[in-house]
Amino acid sequence: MNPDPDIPSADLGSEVPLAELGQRLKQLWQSNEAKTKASLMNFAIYSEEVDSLTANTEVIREVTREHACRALLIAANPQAPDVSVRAWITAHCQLTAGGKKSVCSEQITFLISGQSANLVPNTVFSWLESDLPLTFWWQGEFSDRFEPHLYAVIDRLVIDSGEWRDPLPQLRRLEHAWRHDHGGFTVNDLSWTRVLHLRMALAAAFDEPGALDHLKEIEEVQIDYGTGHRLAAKMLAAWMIHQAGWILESGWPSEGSFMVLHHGRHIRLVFGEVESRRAVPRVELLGPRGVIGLTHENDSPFIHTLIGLSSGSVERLTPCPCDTPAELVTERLRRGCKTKRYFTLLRTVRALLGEFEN
Amino acid sequence: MEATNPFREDQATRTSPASCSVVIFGASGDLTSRKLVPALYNIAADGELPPTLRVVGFARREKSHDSFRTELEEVNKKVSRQGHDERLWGSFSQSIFYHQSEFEDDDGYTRLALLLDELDAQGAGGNRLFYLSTSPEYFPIVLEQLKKAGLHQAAPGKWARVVIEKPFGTDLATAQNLNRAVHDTFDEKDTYRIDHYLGKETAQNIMVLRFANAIFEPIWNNRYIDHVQITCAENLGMEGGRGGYYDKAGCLRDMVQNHLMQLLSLVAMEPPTDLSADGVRDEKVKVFRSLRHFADAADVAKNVVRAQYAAGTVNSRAAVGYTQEDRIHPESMTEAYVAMKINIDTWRWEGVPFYLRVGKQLPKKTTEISVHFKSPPHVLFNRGTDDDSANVLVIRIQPDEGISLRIASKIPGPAVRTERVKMDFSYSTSFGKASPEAYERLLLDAMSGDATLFARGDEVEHAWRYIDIIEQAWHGGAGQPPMYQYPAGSWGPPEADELLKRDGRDWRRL
Repeated sequence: MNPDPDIPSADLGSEVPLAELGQRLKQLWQSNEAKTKASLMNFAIYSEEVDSLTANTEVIREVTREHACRALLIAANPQAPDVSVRAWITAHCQLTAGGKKSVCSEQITFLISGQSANLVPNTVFSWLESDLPLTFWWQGEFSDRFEPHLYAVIDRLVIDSGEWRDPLPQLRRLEHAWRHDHGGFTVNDLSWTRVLHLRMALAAAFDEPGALDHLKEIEEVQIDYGTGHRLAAKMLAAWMIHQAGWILESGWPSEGSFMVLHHGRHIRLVFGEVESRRAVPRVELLGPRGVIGLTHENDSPFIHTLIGLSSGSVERLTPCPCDTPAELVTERLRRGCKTKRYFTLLRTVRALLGEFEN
Repeated sequence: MEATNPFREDQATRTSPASCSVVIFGASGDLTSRKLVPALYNIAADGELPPTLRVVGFARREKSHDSFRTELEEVNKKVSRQGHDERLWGSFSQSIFYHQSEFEDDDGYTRLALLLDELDAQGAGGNRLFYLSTSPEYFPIVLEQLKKAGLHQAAPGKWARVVIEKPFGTDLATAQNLNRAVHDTFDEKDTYRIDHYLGKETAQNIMVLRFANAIFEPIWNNRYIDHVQITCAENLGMEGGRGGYYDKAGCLRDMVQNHLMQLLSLVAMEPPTDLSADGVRDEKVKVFRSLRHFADAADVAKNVVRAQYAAGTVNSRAAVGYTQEDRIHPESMTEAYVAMKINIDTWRWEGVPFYLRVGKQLPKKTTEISVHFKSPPHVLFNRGTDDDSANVLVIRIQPDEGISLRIASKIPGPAVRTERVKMDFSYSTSFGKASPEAYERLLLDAMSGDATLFARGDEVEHAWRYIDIIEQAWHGGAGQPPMYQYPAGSWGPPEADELLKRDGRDWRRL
């Protein structure tokens, strides 16, 4: 990391001395009475990549279209030789649906330099809007700054396990923190969100007549994943295994394929990496009655479902607003989450990653 | 037992809508193109529409499937809440079909049954939702024809439901007759009487406000609440040929019997034992049963003000008087405005009047409920003044949906002076996403089998029982209460103000 990064101040708003931050925030709102400040939550993004500030400011701008918040954007630069904190303030304003009001969310950006690990939780604690929940997006792999004082104040932890080079230790660390905090925060993994609409489309496909009979006779499941989205594909597979009551067999793992058992029958589960922007561009469930296939093309905002069974053929479109990180976070914030279910599925995900438990 | 779809299990926090065929009777009407089909399209855009759903428009005019789809597409482009996506419409519209028939024609229903069987074979699954959006006089005819054709009975493991648009009857007798016709054909559990006000987010939020917040329920009674006002104001008259229907109905039947009574029941009901359809509706019925009925025409005259608007100006627009409007009888005695005082004889509401007002050509379009709390003792900050420092909780149903609370606050400065200030929650400010249209929620509920936001048969009859007494006083024999006048663009006749003044109160200034 560049120890003296070039900060894109134009995107971050006005740089303010830390001691004057509260006062300058107040002035920000007093200067324009036509704007309405709104806040339903504290939304923090933490990254140890200083270069991410511009992109994350854009994410906050997008998220605040639907989720008014106090946004805290924190970039840490632990390699910097001296300990220091710089701050910027800005506001993101959106017209309401009727175009009558300009509703604004404030963004406070911090650049925390140096090795002082305490600075992150201290900064977060100091600038939380009271009484509102904290959604905290930890970007990248966990560092030693992800520690109990910090996650004790988090209500919703957003992560993207797809970013992790080696997911198994990260997942273990996440589960340890969650249990250590007695399940005090919920976990929103964007890898899991990436397959949300696929899960919905798959569920809808099995509402079709004849589809449940097809499910009983499935012989092979093929899941293609885009580069870097292996974990999303494994999560989708783990969910299918869990929901359909299949059992993952431990003796069979080979490169890219597994066997699951269903009422004494074997089903082959095949993963393949393909060139695609999509996390999971293709899922096919094949059996003697035909195929149920889902495809998500690079240029399409829809998941295309083909139910091609001997009883007939039907095609459907399912909207999938799941392209950008901002869309994924916005989608996730709209919904509740079942963290216990997530950790239950992780056991199967770990097995699909080659880590079988005894 | 039918196998369940295991992938559906952890999908949603609400019951998923089941795959079905939705048959809309009166499909050439505005409601279908402006509300129902855009609602279904937006449910599809949210990814919540069962992919195998089929929509069949049933109407008298000759049309092909394609021309029907094209007509609907043109309107959807203009009114869809989430905009119009050509590709999504292309996929969605393939599920839309048109069926031409007279409502009385036996053969038309036989052909409908064949079409539905064909759609079932293509995947619709055998569930049927019949949506009656015709003129009300056709409701019994369509119901009878459905029965004759055997369409009211679902195949084993499937369901057949009926959704009935308002008005549900024009008085108690006609509502009872219609209930009989419905129950001859469908079970009550399969009957969904629609009142789109109940599908509005803010109406649904009344129960959440009351029962999910510990601070309100302890003070939601006659110890702390002085009175309640419910206002439904419209700033339009009889545009668009609406006069023909309106002059027969009047605003008491058109608005009070259904929408305002439903809002009143949500404010006044006791906490339900659970959130099941009957759990909630049982409590609403108790409210209707507790309404203090007017004793005679004199009692009605004392507590209910009816009026028509005279010529005036609304929002800089010249407006003719009610009796000069298109399709209104020049000597009409139909009310375009009602203000009334309602008493609810329960422990909770003893001595707390509910004032309702509703009318056309008022200064602005707004629907709201205001709960006026009792004034604090005049011993400290407001000693010696007649300043109205009572707290008021306002639930804005439309537009600018939200909730505000009026409180007293000290004006900054050395003197101790108080001023009324407002704490405000606005849906549009707090939740960036536009709320779903009422019809989206109600259609989803009907497809999912959740009747909580629909009126039950006894609920409708109790409301009519109360309204009939007023109608009989107005249109019965001697001693009819007068029909007052107000200039278009004003807030109603002086007699409506007097209704509150004599109790030492005023209408909230809107």
